[in-house]
Amino acid sequence: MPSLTRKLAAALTLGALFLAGCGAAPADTAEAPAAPAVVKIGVIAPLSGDAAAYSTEMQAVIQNRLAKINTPTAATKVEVVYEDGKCEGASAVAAFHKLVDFDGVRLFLGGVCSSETLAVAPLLQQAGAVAVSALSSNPAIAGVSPAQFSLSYRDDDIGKGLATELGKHTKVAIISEQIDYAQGIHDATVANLKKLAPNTQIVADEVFPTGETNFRNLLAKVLAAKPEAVLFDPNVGKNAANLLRQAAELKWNGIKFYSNAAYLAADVGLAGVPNTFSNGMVLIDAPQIDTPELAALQAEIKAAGGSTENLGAYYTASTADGIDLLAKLAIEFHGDAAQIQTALATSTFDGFIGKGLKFGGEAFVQGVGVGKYVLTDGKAVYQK
Amino acid sequence: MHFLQILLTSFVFGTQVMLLAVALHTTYAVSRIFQLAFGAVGTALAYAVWAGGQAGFGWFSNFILFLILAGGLAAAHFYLLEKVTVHHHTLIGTLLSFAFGMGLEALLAIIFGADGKQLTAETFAPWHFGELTLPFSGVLTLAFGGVLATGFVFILEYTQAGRQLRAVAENTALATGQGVQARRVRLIIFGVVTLLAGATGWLRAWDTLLTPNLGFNLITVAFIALVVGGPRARLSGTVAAAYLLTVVPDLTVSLTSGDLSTSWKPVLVFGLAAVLLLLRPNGIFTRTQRAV
Repeated sequence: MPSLTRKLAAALTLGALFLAGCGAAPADTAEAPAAPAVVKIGVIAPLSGDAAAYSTEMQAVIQNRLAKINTPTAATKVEVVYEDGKCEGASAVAAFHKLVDFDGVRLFLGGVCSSETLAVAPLLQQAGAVAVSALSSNPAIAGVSPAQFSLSYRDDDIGKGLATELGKHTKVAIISEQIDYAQGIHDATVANLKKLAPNTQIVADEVFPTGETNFRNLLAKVLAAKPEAVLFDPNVGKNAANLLRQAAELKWNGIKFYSNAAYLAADVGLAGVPNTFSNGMVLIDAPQIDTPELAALQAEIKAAGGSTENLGAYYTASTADGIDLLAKLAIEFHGDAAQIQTALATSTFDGFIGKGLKFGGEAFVQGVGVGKYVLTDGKAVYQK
Repeated sequence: MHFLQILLTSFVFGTQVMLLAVALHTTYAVSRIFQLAFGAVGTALAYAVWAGGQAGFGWFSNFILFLILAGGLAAAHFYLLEKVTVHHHTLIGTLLSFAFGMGLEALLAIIFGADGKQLTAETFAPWHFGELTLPFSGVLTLAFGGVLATGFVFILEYTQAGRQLRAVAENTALATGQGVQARRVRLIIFGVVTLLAGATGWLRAWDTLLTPNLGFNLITVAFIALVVGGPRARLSGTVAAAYLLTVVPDLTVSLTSGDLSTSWKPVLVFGLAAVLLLLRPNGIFTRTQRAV
């Protein structure tokens, strides 16, 4: 009687399971989950392409902080896993899925580019993950996901700063790259210009696709519109220097130039741009941070063979604070992304950026202003 | 004056496209295959020049490096495709050439990185013609294009090498029967055209920025120019199409005010190509013969 044998086997199996369940300790007397030996933090960053130099320096900052976090006596070690977001949405999403599905990561430092962050943020809650970006500044990040935070300043603060400068002129032109970072700054600048300087006319507003390397006709078109000031708004990287190099070939005759962070880095490659052209260019970007703690951090990284010249002071600080904050909360909450998200939204923390910083339920860290720099002999000089 | 400045700058880009279109036309003539790898080949040779500069090579050593690598790439490209050429597998040949180019670009990105590089740190002052401005790289491009166009016409029309090339292009079997070594003609053409592609890549990189996909952007427009000009038609059609497909979209985008940004250029290129192909499907200078 085979069917009877099968029924008997099933009954015995169920009975064994029932007894095993009865033998388990009741929930209210269960032991607290042990602290994990390793917590993983995923980093989605442009490891290749024009923005790769920033990622290389971020890795140096992260390595420095990990050495301080992963002490020999630490009960929980923090491990960082890197994936290439290529500074664009599709690759960032692929990187995210790889980290979540194959590496089991739920905590993220990233993206770096706003394109990466904007693409990944909608996926966080479903994946049970939380992310803190150190560099993404597009204001569209706010409101995409309660699990996405950013330690960067906001582009609309940059836009306000640029609009304040551009508003000193009656005719201005804007040249921006078709990428989330640059378009965020463009939209914020235009909106603030309308509010702060309604008499300032935008006589040319040109957009070029990412990957475009020949700007001569676009520059000639802008020059023909006879602006008094031009805002160069490209993405960071060597192509920004290419844009300026080609602009320097034309005769701009006293026109004032403004830009974003693209020309802040020391090795942006302004070698082919005459100082007579670029001197006096006003850059609006993150505020300068010159605390002894940050100076010591930068010195340590330099001594270890690394560099923070592309990141600059603010983004070095935000990267260090990002990894420190995530690691601290990961250890405290045993890697529980939901609890970490709540802690990020409600807590106050001290870091290299400053003291008493908080997100206050918002996506962006509160209370960060902007700084003004002026290009002098190829270097950006902070204006106090 | 603004119109003339745009026209001048567009002519530089048009000349770079024309040079690659001539490369495509010439190799198509002797193989009936669209050799789409020449964009990547030109980029690879530009990277060789850059790498030589970074290593501290002088201009002569760099030129020798350029020649050696051009020879290697020409041979690799030729032998990859010779069998399919002889057996008239034209679609497979086109795909093989495309794959060779894509693979070469990917390799360049792996070896040199995807970030843009300035071909040379040396700066040359732009040339001014009254109110018009042309970078030195643009002056070289126009000069080189002019010399090349004249040279090609001369070789094709007035030399034995040109007659052999035209014989192979028109009827390979008959030419072989007359004692022309078609395979040798093809090999020489590949060598010469590889040098041409390398020079174009070098000029383009100097004029803009050296990136792994520098050649892809050029070869796409050059290929469309070849199709619009008529692959089996005279070279003059391809040359004219190359300039039409670069100058007209550039002028349209640059002279219109409003929302027509640089991003519209590919739309205009394809739109213009479609119109020209509908009007003149056999080539812009070719009339369809009435069947008798």
